[in-house]
Amino acid sequence: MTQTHHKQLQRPCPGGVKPISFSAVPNLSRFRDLLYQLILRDLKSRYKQTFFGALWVFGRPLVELGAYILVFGAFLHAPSDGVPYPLFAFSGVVLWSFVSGAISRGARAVMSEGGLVAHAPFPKATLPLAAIVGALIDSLLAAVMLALLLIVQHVTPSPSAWLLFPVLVILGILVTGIVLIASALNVFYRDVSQLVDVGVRVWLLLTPVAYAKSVVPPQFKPLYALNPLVGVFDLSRAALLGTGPLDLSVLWYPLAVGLALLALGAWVFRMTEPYFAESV
Amino acid sequence: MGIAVSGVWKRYRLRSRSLKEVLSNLMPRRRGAPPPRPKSMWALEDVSFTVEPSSTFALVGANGSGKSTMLKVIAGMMKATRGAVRVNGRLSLLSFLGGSFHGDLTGRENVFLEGALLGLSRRELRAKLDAIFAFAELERFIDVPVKFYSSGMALRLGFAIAAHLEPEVLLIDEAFAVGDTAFRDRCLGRMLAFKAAGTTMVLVSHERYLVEQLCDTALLLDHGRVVALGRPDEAFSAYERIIEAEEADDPDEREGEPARSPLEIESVDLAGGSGGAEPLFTPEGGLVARLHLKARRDISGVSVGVQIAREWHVLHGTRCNRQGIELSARAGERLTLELEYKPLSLARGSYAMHILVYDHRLQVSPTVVWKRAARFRVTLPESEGIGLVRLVHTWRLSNGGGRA
Repeated sequence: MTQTHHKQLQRPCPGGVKPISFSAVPNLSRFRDLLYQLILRDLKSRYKQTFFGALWVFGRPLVELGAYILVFGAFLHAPSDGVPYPLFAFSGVVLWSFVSGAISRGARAVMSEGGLVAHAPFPKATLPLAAIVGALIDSLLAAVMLALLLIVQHVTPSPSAWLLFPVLVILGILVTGIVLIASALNVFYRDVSQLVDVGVRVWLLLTPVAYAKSVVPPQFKPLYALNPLVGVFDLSRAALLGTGPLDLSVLWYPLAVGLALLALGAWVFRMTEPYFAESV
Repeated sequence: MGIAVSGVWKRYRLRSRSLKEVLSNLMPRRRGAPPPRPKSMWALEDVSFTVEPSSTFALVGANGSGKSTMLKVIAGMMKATRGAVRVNGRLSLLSFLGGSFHGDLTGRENVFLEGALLGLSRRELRAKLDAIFAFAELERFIDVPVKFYSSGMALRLGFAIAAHLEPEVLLIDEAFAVGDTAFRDRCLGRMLAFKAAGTTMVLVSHERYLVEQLCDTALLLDHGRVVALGRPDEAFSAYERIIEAEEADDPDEREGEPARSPLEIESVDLAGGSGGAEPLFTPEGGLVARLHLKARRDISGVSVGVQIAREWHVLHGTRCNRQGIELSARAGERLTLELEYKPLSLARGSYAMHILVYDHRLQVSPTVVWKRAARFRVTLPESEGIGLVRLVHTWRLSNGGGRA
């Protein structure tokens, strides 16, 4: 009895009676631990029982790159702002692999863990966030390939390459906002993940991933600039390969869009989370 | 560290709106078309109760009565449509043990993930890892992918992780209905340890004896409403009455092949107790069952069995050929078979009697079974312990300073 009493003294419960709701009272260390374990599980499980194992991390972007080089480089002679096309395309593909990987995996993150969501009380936001981090890790590994390609092509990265970090942060904010909205709404309507898949494909074509922005006819330029990724991709290439002037002000627009989406996403997720367990 | 549930209502939407539905709502509905399915249902209606700190509380009720919903609302996984739930203390919910296990990952890797889901930190898990695998008796399988575990092994590992939590409030959702006897004993032992440590527990269970052993209070839910709140035995008595009422509504109680049966069971009457549809008996008074039978054809060597059941447990079964009686008769002839139980060694409660007919004495499964052919209740003069049966017994103090 005394022992029990002692234990309770060691674990004071501040505020007396309080409602337990993990979404309302996020326990940060619990959240972090869980996020870490989910990321680790995805990393460890993804390439288990595959012959090539972790080599797939490099395989996927390589195959994509090959197709881009063939179609856009060899067939269409897409303008590449004066750098070798493989280099041009690969820098785009690496960044894009983060955007598309995070969004398409993230949008399904809550639904695909339906059993857990229905039976265990835990902060559900860890699921989409783990998917985003997983995609980020894949892209960073692909970036290692990009670095090798730079060396092989005897290209010295421009000293402004550090700008890639703020670029990545802005991309992360944008993508997180979209993923929070999509993963939450996908619980209630599966249309959302379908829509997201189509959207990501269209978005790829409307973003200077495989071609330079200069191909866009002047009358479409204002419309084209509405895509927040245009400035991000353009600047990141200029920063890495020195393909053009560095105009940092182009980052304000994607940052603003990203923050707005993130705020909206956090709100949507928070409002819908209590209904996940009964809807998955 | 208690729980307060006040006036909780929970509504489930039973379907989501689709384009097809929106379009068909625009059209005028054809006459005679079936009415649309219900859009929502109340899973909980005005449920209120308090769980005192360090006490153990049971949620009892049939499938679909709202027990699990109540647990999820307490755990904060679901939002009550109306009403409020207050929980004071660090909370853990045990349900779906091992549900997060990923088959390709090893036992060790899965323990870290499941532990994180249950709210254990990595440091705590590292410290407890060996103890967890020892508790699950899976030390040899620590680095084996979980897909090579049997379902019982996965369950043991799931419970072992849960057993190493240190919650102040523990919610348990029928997690132990599976598993072998030894495993269940260990689960029960662990729950008693939680109870001894002052953990507030809420348990969802169908198992009367588990609940009566563990719980201070029980709440009976029926279709989302509170029917009884009080001592576990009172709640279970009320539960039995609900089950009986539902069974009494069931007209078709004969199972098997009545057309092939050699005998027709015309009626059963019970003598030795009070009258009525559910007569009352005492152990000392005994019970005599008279079975009125009619041969459907010329028969010989036919055997009749009687079983006494409580809920879904058959407590005792016997057949007349065991005591040398085999029935022979001409077609249409009537027979009366008597079976006496004295003393009637049953605990207090409600019972049903099943009648079984066998073509011959070596037949193992009956040709026809008349389920719940008769019902009766047993009352006891003394206040009795727990259990399914009342064994005739006498206490003696053979040595020492007791008072006779």
